Amino acid sequence: MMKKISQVILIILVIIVTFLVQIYLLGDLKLFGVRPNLILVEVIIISMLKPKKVSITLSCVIGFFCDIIFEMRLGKNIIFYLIITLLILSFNNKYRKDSKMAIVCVTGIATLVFEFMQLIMYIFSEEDMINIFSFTKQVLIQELLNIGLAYIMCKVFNKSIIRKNSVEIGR
Amino acid sequence: MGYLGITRKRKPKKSKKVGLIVSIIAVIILIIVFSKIKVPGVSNISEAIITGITNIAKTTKGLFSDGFGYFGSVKALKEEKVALEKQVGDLKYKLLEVNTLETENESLRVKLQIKERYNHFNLVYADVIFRNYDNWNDIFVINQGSDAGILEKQAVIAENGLVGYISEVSKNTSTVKTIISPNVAIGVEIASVNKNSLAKGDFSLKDEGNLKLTYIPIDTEISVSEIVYTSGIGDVYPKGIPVGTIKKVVNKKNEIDRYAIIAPLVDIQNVNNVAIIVK
Repeated sequence: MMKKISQVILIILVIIVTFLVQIYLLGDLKLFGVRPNLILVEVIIISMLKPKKVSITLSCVIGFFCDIIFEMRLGKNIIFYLIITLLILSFNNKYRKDSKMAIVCVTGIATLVFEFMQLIMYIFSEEDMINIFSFTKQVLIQELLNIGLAYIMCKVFNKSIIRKNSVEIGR
Repeated sequence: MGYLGITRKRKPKKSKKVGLIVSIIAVIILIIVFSKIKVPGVSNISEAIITGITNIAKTTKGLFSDGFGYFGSVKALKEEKVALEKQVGDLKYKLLEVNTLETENESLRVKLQIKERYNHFNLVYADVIFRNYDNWNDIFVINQGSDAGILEKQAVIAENGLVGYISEVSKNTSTVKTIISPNVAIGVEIASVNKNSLAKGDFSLKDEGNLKLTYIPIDTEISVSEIVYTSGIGDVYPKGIPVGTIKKVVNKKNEIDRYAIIAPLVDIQNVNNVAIIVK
């Protein structure tokens, strides 16, 4: 029971830190005007490494916080992050989780899908078309930045998982 | 040894005694004579020796006294270190206070400038809390909401000009959509020609922080560096707020299609103090 509570507290702390880093650190880190999306990367990593139920719950929680903090209305981010999680879970058994190539591919595909969803949302809400070259440029830079972040985060997560496993084996 | 084993006693030599007395007298005479005559170099040598000895004595004395002084003052030094550390801590705290006051001062100065420049408007001042991570729109959140009288679609300004409009309002916070966000349209007036036009946020210009001036009236000559003001057409932006300067004019084959790029007068991506025009 205590172990579960501590795990929940740890996850909440990780989410809070992610939001703070995204808002106050990565907000100014722009490459050609494009910011990396650490929150999306976190959803991707969780979906890759955690069990199905935990992944779905956490993506909904993260989407919920995003809607409350940034949009001031519920819906958009919960749906987007849930779709990303379901997409990753659908081909979760088809790759090795510790493979570097898998991290690159999954992050790349998930970012692409996320940006397309944003595009569709933009076209419907603003009733406006955008320059395809600008969109392509944004997607490519976003993918590059997100893959870099995912790679770093995966290394950290994998290290903690390996340490945890070794402790359990030692017991 | 003498003849028949009889030892013969030797007489003490008188000459030896005399010699001794003579040599003593000679030494005394020599001393007296040398004391009267100055031999060059001797005084220098003795002076050097004396000075050297004195110096050695002095140095040794100094060394000993300093050495004992050093060991004796370790405690005092430690106390001094603690006192200095406390002083450094106090100074650091004061510096932090000064920095906070400086930031506050800067914020108040900006607000005062806005008040002086736009004194004909009813204003509510606010600070930017954070910016959205979204790459699709340029949005930030401010620390004033409906409690301060803010409503949706009210214009947001900074000291140099227009920033955007209120897109969402909650009790204590509001979301501001800036003029460089795609599809944000502003009715503008080109100052030199008094002709109305439309400034619009563009997805491809958002990264550079610029916006597009479209529907430029035919036969209107516009040039770079001209200032564009809000025209007051529409409900959101009151007339006469500076929007930006014309950065580039892009001419097309068809004159209707020509457009210009506007650089906002406010550094929108880094603005921290704003005011909302409350109607």
